[in-house]
Amino acid sequence: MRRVDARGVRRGLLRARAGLVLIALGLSLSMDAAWASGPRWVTGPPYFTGTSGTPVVWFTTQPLYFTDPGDLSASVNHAAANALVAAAVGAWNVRTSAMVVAYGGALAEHVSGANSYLSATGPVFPVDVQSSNYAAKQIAVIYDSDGSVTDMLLGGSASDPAECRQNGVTESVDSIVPAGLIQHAILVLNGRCTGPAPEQQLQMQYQLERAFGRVLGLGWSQTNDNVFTRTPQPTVAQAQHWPILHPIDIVCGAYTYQCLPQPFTLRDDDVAAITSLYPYVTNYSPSIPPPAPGKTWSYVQASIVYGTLTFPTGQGMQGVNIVLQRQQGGWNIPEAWYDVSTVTGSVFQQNAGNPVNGPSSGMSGSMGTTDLQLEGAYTFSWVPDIDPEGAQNGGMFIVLTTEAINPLYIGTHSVGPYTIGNVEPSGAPMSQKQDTNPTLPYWASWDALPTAFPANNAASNCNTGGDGVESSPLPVAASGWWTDVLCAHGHNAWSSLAAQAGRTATIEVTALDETGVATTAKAMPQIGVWAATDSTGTLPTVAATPSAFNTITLGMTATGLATTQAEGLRFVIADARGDGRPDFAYQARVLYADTIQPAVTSVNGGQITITGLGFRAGNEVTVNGVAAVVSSWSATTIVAVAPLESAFPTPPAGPVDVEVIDLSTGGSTVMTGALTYGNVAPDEMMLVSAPSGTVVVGVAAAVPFAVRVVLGDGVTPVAGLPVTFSVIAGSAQFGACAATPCMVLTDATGMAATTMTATAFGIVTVQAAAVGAVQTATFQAVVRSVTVTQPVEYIAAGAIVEWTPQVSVLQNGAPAAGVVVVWIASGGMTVSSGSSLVNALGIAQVAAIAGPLAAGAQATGQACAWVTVCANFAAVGVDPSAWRLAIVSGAGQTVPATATFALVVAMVTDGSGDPVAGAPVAIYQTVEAAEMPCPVRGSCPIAPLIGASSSTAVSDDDGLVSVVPMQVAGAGEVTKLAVAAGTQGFASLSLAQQP
Amino acid sequence: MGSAKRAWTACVLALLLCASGSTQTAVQTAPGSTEEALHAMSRLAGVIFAGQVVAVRRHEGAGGSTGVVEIEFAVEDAVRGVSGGTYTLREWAGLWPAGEQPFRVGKRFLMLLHAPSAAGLSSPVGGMDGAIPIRGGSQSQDVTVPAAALTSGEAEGLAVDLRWVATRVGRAVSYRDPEGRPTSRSGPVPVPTDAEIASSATPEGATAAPLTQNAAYPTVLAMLRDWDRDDNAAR
Repeated sequence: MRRVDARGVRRGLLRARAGLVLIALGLSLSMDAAWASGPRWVTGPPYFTGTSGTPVVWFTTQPLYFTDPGDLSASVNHAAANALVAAAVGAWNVRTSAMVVAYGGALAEHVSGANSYLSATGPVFPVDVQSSNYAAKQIAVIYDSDGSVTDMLLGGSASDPAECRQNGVTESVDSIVPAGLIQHAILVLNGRCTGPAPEQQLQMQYQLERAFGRVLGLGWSQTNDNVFTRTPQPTVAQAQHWPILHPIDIVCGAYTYQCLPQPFTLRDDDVAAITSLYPYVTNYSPSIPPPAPGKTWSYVQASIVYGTLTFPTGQGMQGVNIVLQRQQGGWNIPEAWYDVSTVTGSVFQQNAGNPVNGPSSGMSGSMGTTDLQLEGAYTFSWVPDIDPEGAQNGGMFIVLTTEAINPLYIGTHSVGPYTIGNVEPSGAPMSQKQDTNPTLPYWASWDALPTAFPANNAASNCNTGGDGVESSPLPVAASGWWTDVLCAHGHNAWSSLAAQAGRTATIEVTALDETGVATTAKAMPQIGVWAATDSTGTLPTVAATPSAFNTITLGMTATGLATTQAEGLRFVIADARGDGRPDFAYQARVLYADTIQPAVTSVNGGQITITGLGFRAGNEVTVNGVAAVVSSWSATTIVAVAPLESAFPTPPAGPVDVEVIDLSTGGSTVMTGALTYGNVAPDEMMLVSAPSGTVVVGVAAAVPFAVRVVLGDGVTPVAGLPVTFSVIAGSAQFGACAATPCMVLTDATGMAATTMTATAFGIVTVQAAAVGAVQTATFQAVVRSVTVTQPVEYIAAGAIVEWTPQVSVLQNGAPAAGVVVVWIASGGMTVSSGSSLVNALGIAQVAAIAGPLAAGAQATGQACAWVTVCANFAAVGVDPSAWRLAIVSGAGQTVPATATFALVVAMVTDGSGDPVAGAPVAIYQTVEAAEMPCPVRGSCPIAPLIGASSSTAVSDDDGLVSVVPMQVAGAGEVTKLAVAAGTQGFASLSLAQQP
Repeated sequence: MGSAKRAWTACVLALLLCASGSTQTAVQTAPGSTEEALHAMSRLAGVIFAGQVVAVRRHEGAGGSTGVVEIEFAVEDAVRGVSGGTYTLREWAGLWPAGEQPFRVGKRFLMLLHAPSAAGLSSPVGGMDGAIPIRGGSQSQDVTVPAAALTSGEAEGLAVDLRWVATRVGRAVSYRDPEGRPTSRSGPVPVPTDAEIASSATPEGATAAPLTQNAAYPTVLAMLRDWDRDDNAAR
C-alpha cells in the first residue's frame, strides 16, 4: 500500500484562504452540468427563458406538503398515513442538501371522486389542491381511500390492488414555469394498496420515497446496473449502492422493497442527486457555522469531478453513462462498487428537432442547452470523500469508467438525455484512474477535479461532403445507393430526385454502426419529401416518416412517394432527435424505376429493359401484376421478359403497370401505365440447329440445340434474353444446366444454345421457348451395343493362327440384323473382309489371322456398327513356358474288344486357363497287351509291347488338340497316351480294351 | 352461554378469514414468466388492441384543470373493448408533466388499457409497460393517408417487444458477499430468501417462459384472444 497525503496541500490552501473570510458567501459555484445522477428536466430554449442547461428545480428549498385530512384506508388511518408520508419524504431531507420538505398541514378536504371531476380540459381537483395554490400549498398528498381518484385519473380498474406496483402512488409535477422552476406537485396514494399486512404499507412507503425523489426534480440513475441485470451477480455492497432512483424495480415477489437491502436509505448516488440540485454552497471555513440545524455545507467532505468525453473529431459524445469508484487515501485499489454516476451531455439539447417533424417546441422539446461545449461534458457534482478532511489516510482517488446505458432505460425509464432511444457509445469502453491528483473538498471553483477521456477508437468521420442543403439539395447518387454520416449535431442530409409522372419510388435509410452493420442503437433516421418547388422551412408535403425504424428490416426507415406529374423532389434524411455524430453512419437508397424500353410489346410479350436507380440482384419485376422473368440486374438497369398478354387474368384495356420489388426490404417502385401490349411484330426466334434422326443414349448429340432471337425486324439480335429449353417428351439432359427446364441467355448475336444427351431410348422432343415463340426438335434416342464374344485370342508365340472373331450387335435390346459391322485390324492381325452383316441372331463375324507374335505382344482389331458403336478385340502371344495341357475329354476309357476308343481331346492353356491357339503339341502312344495273371511262383510276366507311335498336332483357335488313340483290334490291350506342349505342358492317360 | 360464545368466536374467525382472503387478493404476486406477466396485465385491461398512432393532441389545463392528452390510434387488430376503426386514448396530462410525448405518430403499439373511467380517462396497464411496442412493418408513408388494417402478410413480419413486460417477471434475488459467497440477507430489511419467493418467482437464469422478449405478433395476438375468450367464459 502506498499513501498519498494531499492534506498538506489542502492545509496550505486553507491558510491562503484565511483572509478571504466570508467573501466566499457570494462565490458562485456555477459549474455547468453540476449534478450527479442527473436532473429529471433541464432548461433550454424555447420554452425556458432563463439560463439554458440548468436543472429544473423547486422554486423554494423548503416546499411544504399537505396531506389529505381523511384516512388512507380502513387499515391506515390519517395519523398512520401521515407517518408513512413523513417517513418517505424524510429520506430526502439529507444533511448535505438545502432541500427540506416539511409537513405543512392538512388539505382543506378529503379528496375523492366526489369532489374531483373531469372537465373538458382535464381533471379538476379542489381549489387548494390545484397548482394555482402553489404559493400556499406546494405538494398535495391525496389519500385516495377508495381508489376513486386513481380510477378517475388512470382508468376504471387502475386502483385494483393488482396494479399497486404501478398505481400505488401516482405523482404529477403539474406546474413548471418558464423560469425553470417547479411550483407544485400532486401525489395520490391509492388506499386500496394498503391493508392489514405491514408489508403493504412498507411497499407504499418505498414507492412514495421514489415518487418524492421524482417530484423533487431528480432523474433516474444507472449505477451498479448489474443489480438490475443480475449479470454479473451483484454483491451486497453493490446492492447497497444501487440508487433508490433506479429506473426499473426488480420484482422478486409481492413487494419490491424486499428485493434490495436497506430500501429506505438513500444511496450516495441519490444523495449526490439531491445535493447537486439543492446544495449548501459556501467558501467553507471551519469557523463558518452550519447553514441550518441538522445540516452541513454540501462540500465539506465532498468533491466535484468534471470532464468531457469526445470523439476523435473533437465533438462531444453524448449519452454515455460514466460511473465512479472511489479509492480511499492510502489504498491502491478502488471500492468494489460504483458510488455515483453521471451521463455525458445530460444538460445538452435532447431534441433539436428536424425538418421532418419540425422544430422542437413545448417544454419537452426545450430540454437542454445548445452550447456545443457541453455535448460531451460530464460532471460528478457531489462525490463524497471517504475520509473527513484532515484524516491521515491521504487524498482520495477515483476511477472513472464509461458504459452504455441499458436499452430499457428510455421513455418513462430514461436515463440521460436520449429519452426516445439510447445511443451506444462509440469505441471501446474506457476506464481511467485518477491517481495523480486526489479529489479535494469543493470549497472553491478551482477545487473541482478536471478529468478527461482521451479520444479512443471511436468513429472519426464527420465528412458529409455528399450532402446538400435544403435550398440546394444534391442529386442522389447515380446508382441510387450511397452511404454517408449524419454529423454533426443538427446536421440534415438533403438530396434531390427528378421523377417522371406516374411513378412511385421508395426511399430507404438504414442506420449503421461503426462496423457497417445495421443497428437501431445509433442514428434514428427519418425521411421527409417535398416538391422541389415547395418553400423551404415547411413540413414535408409529399411523404414523411413521423418516426424512425418503420420497416421490418433492422435499422431501416423507409418511405414511399408517388408522382402525378413530372417533377423534381427534394428529400431530407435526419435523426429523430435532430442529432448528428460521427457514429451516425447510414446507407441510403432510392428505389426508382424511370423508363422502360420498349414501351410497346407484342401480345407475346418480349424483352424489356428498365432503367432507374437502386436496383440490385434479386429484385423482382411484375408486369400488370404478373411476374416477369428477369435475366440481369445492375444498380441502374434490369432486363426482363414481359409475360404473354394471355397470362393476365383479363386482357388489359390500356397500358399496364411495371413494378420492381425488393422483397428483402419491401421496397418497390411502379411505372404506372408504362407498357403497352399491342399489334407489333413480336420478337422472333429461329431454329439454328437441333439433334435429329437417331441419337445414341448417353452420348452427347453431335448437333447442339440452338436458336437465335431477333427483333420483329427479323434482323436485330436480342441479347441477354432468357430462352427456356425443356424436354417435352422422352428423356434427355441439357449440357447447359444440371436440370430441366434450362434457361440460357442469348449472346450478343441473339444465339442461345445447349448440347444435349438422351438418357433413355425412345422418341425425344425438346423445346426452346422465349418471347412467346417456340422451337421444337424431335429425335430418336437409341441404346446400341456391340459386344465381342471373345475379346482376346491367346496364340502361341511365333505361331500364325486363324480364327473367327464374333460380335453381338443389339439395338434397344434386340438383335440388329442387317446392320453392317466394319472390321479393322492392325499390328500382326488381318481380317478377311472389311465388313460383314449382322445375322438374325445379332451376330456378325469375320475371319482373322494373327501372328506370328512374340510372347506378350499384342495385335488388335475393332468391330464398329453404326460407325460409332465399336468393340475391340485382340490377339496376344503366349510364351511356351506358359503353356499348360489339360485333358478335356476321352480319359479313362475301357471298351470291349469290339468297340473303338473315342477321341482324346486336350487343351492348351496359359497359366490363367485361357486357351492358347496355334501351339504345337507332341503326342506319344504305346499299346501293350493286357496283363496276364501272375504265376504262383516266380515273377509276373511282362506284358508285351504291341505297338507305339508319336505324332504332333497344333492347337486350334480354341486351344484344343484331338488325338485318335491307337487300338489293336480283337485283343485285350492297354493304350498309354502322353501329350506335351512347350516346356511345361504335359498330360498323360491310359485307355483299356478288354480281351 | 358457552354455545353462544363459541358461535360468536366462530363468526369472528370467519370474518378474519374473509379479511385474510381479501388481503391475499390484494397482494400483487410476481408472474413466473413473460407470458404470465402479459396474461396478468391482460386481465386488468378493459381495452386491448394493436394499432398505430395517427395523432397526438395535448389539451392544456385551464380553469384549474390539469389537462388531457389524446392519443388517436388506427386500430389494426381489436381484442377487447374496441371494435376497430380508430380509438382515442384520453390520458391525464399530469402523467406527462413536461409535455413528453410517449406516443409518437407512426409508431405501433399493442395497447392494454384500463377501461376508461366514468370521467373518460384511461392509461396503460402497468404504466408504459402496457403500451407494448410493435417492431417492424411498414407504416403509412403518405402523410395524408391514415394507416390501413394489417394484412396477414404484414402481421407475419411484426414482432412484439416484450422486454419491459419481462421486467415484471419475478426473479429470485440474492447477493453475494465480496468473497463471492451468496447471501440472501443484508441490512435491516431482509431480502427474501429463494425459498420464500420460490412459489411466485422464476429462478435467476431460468428460461421457462415460452414467449421470447421479441415475440411474433400473430402469436401474441392469438394468446390475447385466447385469454380473452377464456376469461369471458370464466366470468
